[in-house]
Amino acid sequence: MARRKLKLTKSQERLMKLFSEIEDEDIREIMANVVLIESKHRSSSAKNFPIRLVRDAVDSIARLQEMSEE
Amino acid sequence: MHFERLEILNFASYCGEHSLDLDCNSDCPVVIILGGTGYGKTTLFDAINWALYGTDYERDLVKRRERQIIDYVNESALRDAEATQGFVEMSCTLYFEHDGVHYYINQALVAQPVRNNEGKLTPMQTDRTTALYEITSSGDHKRLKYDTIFLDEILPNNVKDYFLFDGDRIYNLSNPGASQEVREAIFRVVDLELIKNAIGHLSDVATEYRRKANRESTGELSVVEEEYANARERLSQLKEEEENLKEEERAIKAQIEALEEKLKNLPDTSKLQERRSQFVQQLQQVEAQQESVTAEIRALCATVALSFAREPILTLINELDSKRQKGLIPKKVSQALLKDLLELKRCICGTEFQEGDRIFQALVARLEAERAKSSGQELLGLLFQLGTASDLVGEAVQQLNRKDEELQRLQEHRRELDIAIKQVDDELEKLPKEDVAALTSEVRERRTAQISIARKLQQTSDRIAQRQAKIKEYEKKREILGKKQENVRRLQRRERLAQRAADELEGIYETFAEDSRQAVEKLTKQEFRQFVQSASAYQVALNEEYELQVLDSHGNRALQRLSMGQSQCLSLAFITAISRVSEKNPPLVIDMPFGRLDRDVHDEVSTRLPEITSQLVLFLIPEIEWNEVTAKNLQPQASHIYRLEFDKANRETTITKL
Repeated sequence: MARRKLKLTKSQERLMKLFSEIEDEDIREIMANVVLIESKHRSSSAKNFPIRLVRDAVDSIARLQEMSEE
Repeated sequence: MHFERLEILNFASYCGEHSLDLDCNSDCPVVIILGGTGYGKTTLFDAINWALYGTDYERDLVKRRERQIIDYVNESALRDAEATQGFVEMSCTLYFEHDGVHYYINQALVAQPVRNNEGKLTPMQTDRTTALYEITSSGDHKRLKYDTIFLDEILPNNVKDYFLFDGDRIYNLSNPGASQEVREAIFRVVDLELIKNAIGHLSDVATEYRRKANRESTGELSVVEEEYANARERLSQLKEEEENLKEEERAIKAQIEALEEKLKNLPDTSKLQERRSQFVQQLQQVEAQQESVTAEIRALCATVALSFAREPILTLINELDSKRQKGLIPKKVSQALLKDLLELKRCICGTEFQEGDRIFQALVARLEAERAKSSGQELLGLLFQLGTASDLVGEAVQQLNRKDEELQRLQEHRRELDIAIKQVDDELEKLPKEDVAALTSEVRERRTAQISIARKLQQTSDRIAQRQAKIKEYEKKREILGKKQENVRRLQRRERLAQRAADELEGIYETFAEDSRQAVEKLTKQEFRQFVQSASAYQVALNEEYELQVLDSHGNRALQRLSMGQSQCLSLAFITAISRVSEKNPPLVIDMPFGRLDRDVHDEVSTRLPEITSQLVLFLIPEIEWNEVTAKNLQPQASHIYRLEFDKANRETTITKL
């Protein structure tokens, strides 16, 4: 599909800024990933939403933390 | 996004193929489609919507107008298909350009003509397709996967209501109490909905991990995990309750403000009512006076009726008077005088006498002589009676004249009072029929409800704080106890991450919502000034409750002081602000924008509309919307003007380019 990279709108830029203010990188990454998952599936009904992807986003960060602790 | 062409086939009243060139340049960004009521304007509006949003718009049609898309199959085409035992195809194709690439979306439906139980010809859908194509630079048509993500990037369905809308939307947004709609518009356009959903997903995942940890934990940890899970569950319920209460509080506040605004601007009818009752009282007095004067006149009439005999009476009086002047005392007078003297036993000269003496006998003799007088003498007696009668008649005539004048004056006064009452009634008729007492009582009821909700909110907020403190305690405990159970510790970590991400996102949501409100407020202010320059003395505000407000130079609410047209411009300013905040810059398609817009703002709106977008498609009613004023402003900026003709006999629309 011939999709172009879209320019961020002012409100999206503001949202990015608010995200960047979150100090905990792990939390920030989880949040960003989940928002991305939601934006890709925004038209899906609640029933069809792939919650597994959200679980994976949390799990991957948790694993990294566990590995670094080990 | 820029619309290039719309092609429709057997769509509603459009039989066969029809094409509409929508392409325009920045100098002439307007496309006008003129058509009377029922000529097929809204059908074209539906065609654009269906082409873009397909099944989503079909759901909209059912919800908003209780219509199925199959109902749009053209009747003549269906009859022809029946005659040839074939099928009928209905389609809408929209060609558009986006980011320098040309595309088209085609929505098509194939139907078979069938007769229902009542013998009525109806279409039965046999096929339904949606196709999105890209026209490559080499001219090839490359089929793309049609998905909503593609459209979401260009013109998301959730915000399309602010780019493709009708005059009703303009009308509704300017109504008091539209804060819910205003809030929703902002939330949708800046993707707050997306963040809210993300918070929900993270909370769900955190709950899952909590449950798992609860199931897998043992001993003391199991108890703590259960208590923690319950506390979290309760916290989430309390937050939901708090949200609902806030929503309820906002709604009640909006209702109170709308009612108070209504009350404040409700003209005081009491003075008029008082004036009316004074007039009615006066009228009743005049009516009573009229009745009394009429009765008097009626009584006088009997006497005055004798006035026809007054001339002969006067002649007779003259005749009798001449006799009187000759010394003939009327018989009755002399008899009465003599009788009196005999009874008093005193002479006219003062001498007293006794019965039988000389004076007595002389007077008796005189009395007898009087009794023996001729009838001519009786005529003399009439002189006084007739004189009195004549005077009475004369006086009655004068009285009658006076009473007649009085009656006329009363009648005149009554007419004046009737007119005055009518004028007051007319004034009252023009005023709203609202019942002040009922409105005041309604405000009182709402205020009581508001206090009750505020109390519940405070209670919920306290409970939330207590629960959060408790959760912190549990978190410490479970961390300590979790160290002994590795599998539970892993689940706890995931739960913590998901929950913290949800909480942080909640904070972002609140800040972002407030930022967006302020951005929309700023743009609405600017747009309103552009739309209604005559209302420059007023300030527009979008308060924290998402209410569009107009304030005067003293900061007092002044929405009701704007004309209907000006307040509708406030809606347009808001819609424009929403469009600008979204930064999508899509074409603006408005069905009947001036239909419910006051004439006093036609000039300002028709001047401003082409300036706010790079492409403006307007569906207008000739004469009513396409009038001298709007035509003067829009025609020079129009790339295309079409007129819809409707054949009533065949119920078919044709498109003519002007």
